[in-house]
Amino acid sequence: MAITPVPPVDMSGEGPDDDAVARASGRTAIGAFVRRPAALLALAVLAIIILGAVLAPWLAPHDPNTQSPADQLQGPFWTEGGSTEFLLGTDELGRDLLSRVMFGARPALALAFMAATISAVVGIVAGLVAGMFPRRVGAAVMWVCDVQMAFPFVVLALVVLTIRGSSFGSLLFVLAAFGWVQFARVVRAEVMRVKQMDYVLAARSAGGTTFSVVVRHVLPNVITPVLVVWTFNLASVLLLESALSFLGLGIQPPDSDWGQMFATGRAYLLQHFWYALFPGLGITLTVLCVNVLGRTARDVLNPRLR
Amino acid sequence: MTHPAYAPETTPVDLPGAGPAVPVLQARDLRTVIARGQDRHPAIDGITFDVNPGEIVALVGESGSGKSLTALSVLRLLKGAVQNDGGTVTVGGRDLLGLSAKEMRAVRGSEIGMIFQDPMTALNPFQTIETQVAETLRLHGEWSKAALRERILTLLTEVGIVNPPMRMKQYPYELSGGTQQRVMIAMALANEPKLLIADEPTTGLDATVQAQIMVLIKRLAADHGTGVLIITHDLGLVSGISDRTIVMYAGEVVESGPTAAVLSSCRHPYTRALIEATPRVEGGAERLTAIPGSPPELHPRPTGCRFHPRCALAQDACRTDHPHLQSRAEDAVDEFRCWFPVEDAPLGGLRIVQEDETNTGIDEDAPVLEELAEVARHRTGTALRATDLRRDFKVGRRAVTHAVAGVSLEVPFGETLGIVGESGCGKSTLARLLAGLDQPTSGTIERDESESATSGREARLDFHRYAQFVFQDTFGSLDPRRTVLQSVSEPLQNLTELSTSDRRRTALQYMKLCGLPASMAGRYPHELSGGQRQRVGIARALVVEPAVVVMDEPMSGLDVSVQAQIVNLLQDLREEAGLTAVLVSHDVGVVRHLSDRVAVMYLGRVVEEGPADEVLSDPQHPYTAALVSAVPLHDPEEEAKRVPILLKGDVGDVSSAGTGCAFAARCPVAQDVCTTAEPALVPLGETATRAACHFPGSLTTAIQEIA
Repeated sequence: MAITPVPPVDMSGEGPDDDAVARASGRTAIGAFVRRPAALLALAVLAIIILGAVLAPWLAPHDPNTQSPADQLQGPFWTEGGSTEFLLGTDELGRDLLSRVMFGARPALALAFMAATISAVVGIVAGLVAGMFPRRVGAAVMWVCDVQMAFPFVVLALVVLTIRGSSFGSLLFVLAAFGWVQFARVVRAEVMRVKQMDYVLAARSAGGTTFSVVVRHVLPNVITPVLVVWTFNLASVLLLESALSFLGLGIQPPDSDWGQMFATGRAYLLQHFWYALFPGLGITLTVLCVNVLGRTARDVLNPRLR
Repeated sequence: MTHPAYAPETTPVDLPGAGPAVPVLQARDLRTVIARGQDRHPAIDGITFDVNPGEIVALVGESGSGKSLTALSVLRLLKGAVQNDGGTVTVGGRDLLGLSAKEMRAVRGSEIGMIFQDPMTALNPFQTIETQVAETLRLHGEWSKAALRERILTLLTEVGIVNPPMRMKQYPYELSGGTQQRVMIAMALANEPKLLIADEPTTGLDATVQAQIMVLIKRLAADHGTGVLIITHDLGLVSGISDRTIVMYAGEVVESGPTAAVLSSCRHPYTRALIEATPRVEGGAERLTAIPGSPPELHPRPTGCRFHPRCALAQDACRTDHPHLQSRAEDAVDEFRCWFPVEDAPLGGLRIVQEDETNTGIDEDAPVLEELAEVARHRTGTALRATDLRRDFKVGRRAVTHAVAGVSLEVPFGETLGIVGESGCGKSTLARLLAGLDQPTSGTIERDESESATSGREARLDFHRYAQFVFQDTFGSLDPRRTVLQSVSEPLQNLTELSTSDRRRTALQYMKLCGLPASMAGRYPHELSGGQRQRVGIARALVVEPAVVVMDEPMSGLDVSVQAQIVNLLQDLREEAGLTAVLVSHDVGVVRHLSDRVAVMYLGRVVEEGPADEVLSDPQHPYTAALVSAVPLHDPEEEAKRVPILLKGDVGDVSSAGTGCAFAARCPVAQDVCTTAEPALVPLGETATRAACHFPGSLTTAIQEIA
């Protein structure tokens, strides 16, 4: 009982169907992507943020760690007491905020993207294995997931970072360990659904091995929710990293970092809101753009939603 | 019910005080539009019909013809962009379209009862049957506790539910599909409505259960004078149940009249094409008529006659002028909407639809056809031999279901073996075993010696080269993320050594053979119609030139005209490419049309096996006899003579005892020996048929004596 009319499929098999037309009308993933203005805007903003971080040593107007005690806590250039020398103002030690935001993006973005991606890879593999072999291996994987979910994560991070000392490597390890469980659970649930489908049985009938069936048919059909989880995970990791910085376990001074700047700036929020505002804006914009891109990727990679 | 085996024939209704009865439903110029922005496209375009007391009216057409929408419009269950746009619907002297929402709620369920297609989703899984029936009653009246219980018991008894006091305490999942549908009917009838609307009430039910439900609906209409509007795509059901038939196409009535007249001397080419598209249990029709393309889009509708783009009889007038409903003669009871009505002619004698690649069978120009035929000629002997095949499934911790319980059969090269039976009889499990997609618990499957296997993984690949599978679910069996070409060439990639370009060429050739032009190669499954998707499934199965193709319900779920395309395709493959196949289906007509031999399954066993014509026209096992008798015939005269054998309950209702014949509990001719000794599947006399029955042929003989 279809109430909503679905336009009947053109059964003639003729008409404008060659590849050129297909590409122009957005039948390819890239064609579909460029037809979405929001996605293009998000991509542009994210590109600016990433370029700013990568090219910071050349673009930043000041050395981020040079202190200028005479210029403490200046406002941005358009506020009273601001100057064009420090476009976004200075911090409590008189360091240039613009330069620190640009340099601070480097560890923040690197940690977030790397941790989210490592989580995703580990989680996808664990979820695929758990879904394909649910009895013993799957039960074991899920047991590990449950244990980690039940354990207060910040306590675990404290222990690891205290013992190993806070470094980029140990932070990455802690943040990646935080996210994989979500990926594993989502992927396992999807695998359990997809592997019941007739097309998986058809692939077996076509002579596929377990490995080739997983790679060709299961993985592409479970990847959609992973993209969404990945964007959420990236956002959580950025925030978690700032929380760890707040506890003094993040990137150590004098090196700058968004989370750490945000945590320090919080103390000056009432008088000098911009101190926390700019690193906060960096986190928010990055998370927003990644979310938009993730959602778009989900749509354009699925032939049905293109 | 002392002799439940033989249905009391229902007679046409003669209500007391016969005369010009007041129709229970009068629809006049009913219009429904679908609003898209500023545009309002008519989806139901001014249809007019009556349903008289005690009369069963059938509304038929392809999906997209507007038949379900008509029912929703009558019930005023339209929402969103779908809106009423005029006309009147009179029930009990009131125009429903003028009622308030509250008044309309009072009408639904009391004056109009509804039965939906899928009882499993229409019943609330968390409430007992009693609670649900009681709710329907309480919504429309005050009831004391005792009276309520009494009424529910009466209702459940009336719809033929065995042991109502037990059933009313149960939850929906504890009932079989047939019993659930009876509960739905009981709820629809609870407040003694004047009108019953049933949307595909027996689709998804087994043939023998469908026969029970049909008899029930006929009896209720006759006993209570309830008018019934049945929406269906199944012309067999129409001939079996309805007094009057309305054929819809593209939102309008194209033909209507007494069922016998519509089916035996239809005037509209569309009606005729629908009739010729349906395979028949009684055999006959050489080739089915597949209607090309699909029903027209909502907007723009074709100019002139809406059917003309698919009609071979169309002339210039049909392309420009919209025909109105007319009758052959002044006093004729049937109406049709056609400028050049079809004269009486034997079915299949006229070419009534256009032919293009969407409705022919295989493409005979495809170069692989000769190759396939050549390979087939060199294959002789037995393609598959199953010996005492068993497959058990664990249910919960202890219980075990014997889905396949000792099946032995052979498939010779060049032949098609049809397997029929009701859902749950194990036919799909058997199909998977035969195609190597599942491993038997015990028993062996042997195949032709000359193509035998080694061991391990190589053996599995070898078997897949030997036997391929075609799935029922055309959507689920194609990976939504892979194009048609990728899907068709996948077996080549795994099972052959061909290079990428050779794989592409071979896949395209097989697509061509199955009527899929090369322009389809880059399409994704959701961009194809159901018929095209199944062609992809068939091309994928053929592409490695397997010795046997096992097909599990390859046509069910497709519209009747599309089903005809696939039937024709398979028929061509069988006749011209020498296809060896196992065809599993619940549709006796399809199996008869496409099979050389047929095996009838019941509860995991083959109860009868033999040449298709012999088994289906002169069934020896009582179960086969019941199955065949349950299917309505198209010819109204033959249909009138048909005696459906009504079995007790359904497969799931009767637990089989450890000893004796599994069918004994439901068998109308069972005797003492049947409950103690299990009959073996043995050849009968000089015929080529084998049957597992102590009294073969006894039921068929008994029916013939009655008729």
